[in-house]
Amino acid sequence: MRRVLALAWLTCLGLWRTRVIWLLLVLLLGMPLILAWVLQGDGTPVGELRLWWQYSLGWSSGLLSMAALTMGAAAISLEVADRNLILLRIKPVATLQVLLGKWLGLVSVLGCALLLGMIFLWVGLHYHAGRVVGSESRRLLQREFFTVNHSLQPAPLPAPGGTPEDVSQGVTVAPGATGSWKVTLPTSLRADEPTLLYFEFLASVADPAAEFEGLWLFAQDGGREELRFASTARSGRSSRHELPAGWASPGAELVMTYQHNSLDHGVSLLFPRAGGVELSVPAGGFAGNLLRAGVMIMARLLFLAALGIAAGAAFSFPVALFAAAAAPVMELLNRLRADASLWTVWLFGDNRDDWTARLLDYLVMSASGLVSLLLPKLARFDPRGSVTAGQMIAWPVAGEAVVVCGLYAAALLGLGAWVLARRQLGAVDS
Amino acid sequence: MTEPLSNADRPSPVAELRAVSRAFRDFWGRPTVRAVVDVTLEIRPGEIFGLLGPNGSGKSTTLKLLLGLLRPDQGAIRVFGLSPTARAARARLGYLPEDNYVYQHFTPEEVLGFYGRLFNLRSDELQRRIGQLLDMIGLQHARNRTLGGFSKGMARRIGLAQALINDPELVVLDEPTSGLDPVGCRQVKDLIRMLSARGKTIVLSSHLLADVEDVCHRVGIMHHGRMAVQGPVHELLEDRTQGRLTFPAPDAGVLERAAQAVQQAVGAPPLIDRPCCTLEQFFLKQLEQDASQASAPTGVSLATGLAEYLQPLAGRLEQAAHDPDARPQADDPKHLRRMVDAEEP
Ligand SMILES: Nc1ncnc2c1ncn2[C@@H]1O[C@H](COP(=O)(O)OP(=O)(O)OP(=O)(O)O)[C@@H](O)[C@H]1O
Ligand SMILES: [Mg+2]
Repeated sequence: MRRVLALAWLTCLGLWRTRVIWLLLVLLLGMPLILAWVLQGDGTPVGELRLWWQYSLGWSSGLLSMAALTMGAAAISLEVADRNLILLRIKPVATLQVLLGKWLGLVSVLGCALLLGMIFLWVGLHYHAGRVVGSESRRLLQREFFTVNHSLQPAPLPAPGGTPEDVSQGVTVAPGATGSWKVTLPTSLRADEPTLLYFEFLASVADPAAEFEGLWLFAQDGGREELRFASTARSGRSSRHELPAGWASPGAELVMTYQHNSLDHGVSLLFPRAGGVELSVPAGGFAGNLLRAGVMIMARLLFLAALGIAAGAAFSFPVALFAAAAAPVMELLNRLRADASLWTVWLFGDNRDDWTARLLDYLVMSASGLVSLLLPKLARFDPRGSVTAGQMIAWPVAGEAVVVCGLYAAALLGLGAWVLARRQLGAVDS
Repeated sequence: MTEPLSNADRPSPVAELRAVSRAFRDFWGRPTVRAVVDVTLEIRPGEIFGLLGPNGSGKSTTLKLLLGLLRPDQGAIRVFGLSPTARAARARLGYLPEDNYVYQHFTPEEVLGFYGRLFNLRSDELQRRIGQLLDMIGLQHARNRTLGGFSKGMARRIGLAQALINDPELVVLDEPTSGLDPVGCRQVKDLIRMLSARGKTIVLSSHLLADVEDVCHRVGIMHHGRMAVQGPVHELLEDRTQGRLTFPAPDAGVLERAAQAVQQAVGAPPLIDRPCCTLEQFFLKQLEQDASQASAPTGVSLATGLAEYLQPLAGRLEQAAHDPDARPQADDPKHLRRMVDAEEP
């Protein structure tokens, strides 16, 4: 362990002495300032803040990811080129220890930079927020930005005497009848902020402006009806209602019922299973969510640094950088796998019967299958969307990111050590 | 010369190469140059072995093979009876590469500290060794300067210190005196002798014949990758058909009378000249005289000795340093071992 720490320390000191850290910090902290200067939101304070936050966080995590790849790729490959690794090879230190030490040094630097960047953004955010005037704006900011929500999808309940198959596509409510959903509220529910209800239905009416009257009834823990309010909504449009703060109790089982009161149209309403009814429950604070987001970004950096180091153990610097950077790009492209056939359309037009098109299709699909097998699902561990949208990042997800990325990093370092140990460093051009 | 040891008495070699060959290949695996061809070499405990040869004759390649930095195409290599890549073998090795591979952005103290930690040295012991090594190589005053700004010879000295930080049993030096000033050369040669007196085994390569002749017990001459000849220096150089007398002769009359006596004895006139000191000796004497007027040091300092942790007993080493005749006989490493062991508590 002492050897690994010595290597880690040397790596950190090297990054400091070569001024890489300075450059990283200047870019990391400078860009949010510039963004605050140039970005114009939609005019509302919340919109402006959200935009700045989105771009700044994106910049920070993108910059650090790039730094992890580049510094990782340089860590071993440049030492091979400088022949410093020849001396290390003569010392009683295992190749895996060398890679581990480099990685540890690198992720420590990246971790410190991330922490600093996060603190800087946090301070910037509060400075920004402090300048918002007007009590309504402040309330909105509090509810829409600084409150973190659990997004709940209530489960449709079949009508009395019905079967679960009846509601497999969603809940259909005939005129005059009711439809019901059930959901368990999280124990972390906050009493100081309202819960938001979003709902959307489809109705087979010709007039898109047709309005439907309805009544929502909420009951907790199978008890009596506790909350009711009327709503007017249109087909295919999302509607939003606030349930008063402190009304629902944490951990309670909630039954929600919609009563279709627009008898004159004579059509049924379909609340689709996905997105038909959604509850946005205030469940946590911004700081906690940001912390979990930081953990997830760090998890990604653990992986990317190891990827760069492993590539650097096998190739010279430019090749290593290219190889390491190609992997996340392939992962990104891979997310478009569903659209992979679009490539062939783009290349061959609609002439899909062409055998070349089918061959290409097949190749693209196999390559993407291989990539998804070899790389972790980085997109799943990208917290930017959730943090910006005020969506709760659960600890298990953050934990999963650390475990998955950590395992991938360990495997990559092992692979890199195996390759490096087999290289003959005594030969100049190796 | 002492009698060669019989096989049974011979201590097991510190390092050996058996019929080792190595070619460098191009991208397609076709051999481009056969750098080492069928070399067999045995390095015995306590000896100083010199590899000689013209540029490109395969000296560095042989050393890299010995250190496990290159794998042989054919043949077997053992270091301390182990594979050269074994960690146990590496812990007992010190290596000064041909070129100075130094971390540009670090100070001597940091670099030596780093390498020392790789040997798991305790930090107080490490600090002590760093201090002594920096004194020894004359760079104590530059301990906080970064290596990027060091001259070639200064960097070479750091390389040397780095090779000795673990008090190694086998020291491999690839052209140790390249880039060094005459003082540095002298110091390195003294250092090599002193290390050998302490029972260390040293392998060095050089094309400076005088240096090798000065310090080595045995030499091997490489040419086109082959070991052309190897053996003890004295045996290789001694001309058994001639003899030499040296005696005080302040005036020409003494010389003439002696020449006549020799002519009568052997029947042929002897060749007469006066011994010169070497340019090296002259240079060192001048520097010593000039030392009194020295201003702030810019390069290395003079007047350094062997790091304390490397020496067993001061008196013994001083003798080894200044009296070339007192240097141990390579052919008798057992005798040397006994002497060193007896001195160590
Ligand atoms: N990495 C390498 N790739 C290809 N050829 C090499 C490599 N290293 C050495 N050689 C070749 O092997 C031969 C021996 O080289 P080596 O460095 O061992 O010579 P040397 O005796 O140390 O020479 P010098 O006195 O110049 O240091 C030379 O022809 C050299 O060109
Ligand atoms: Mg050489």
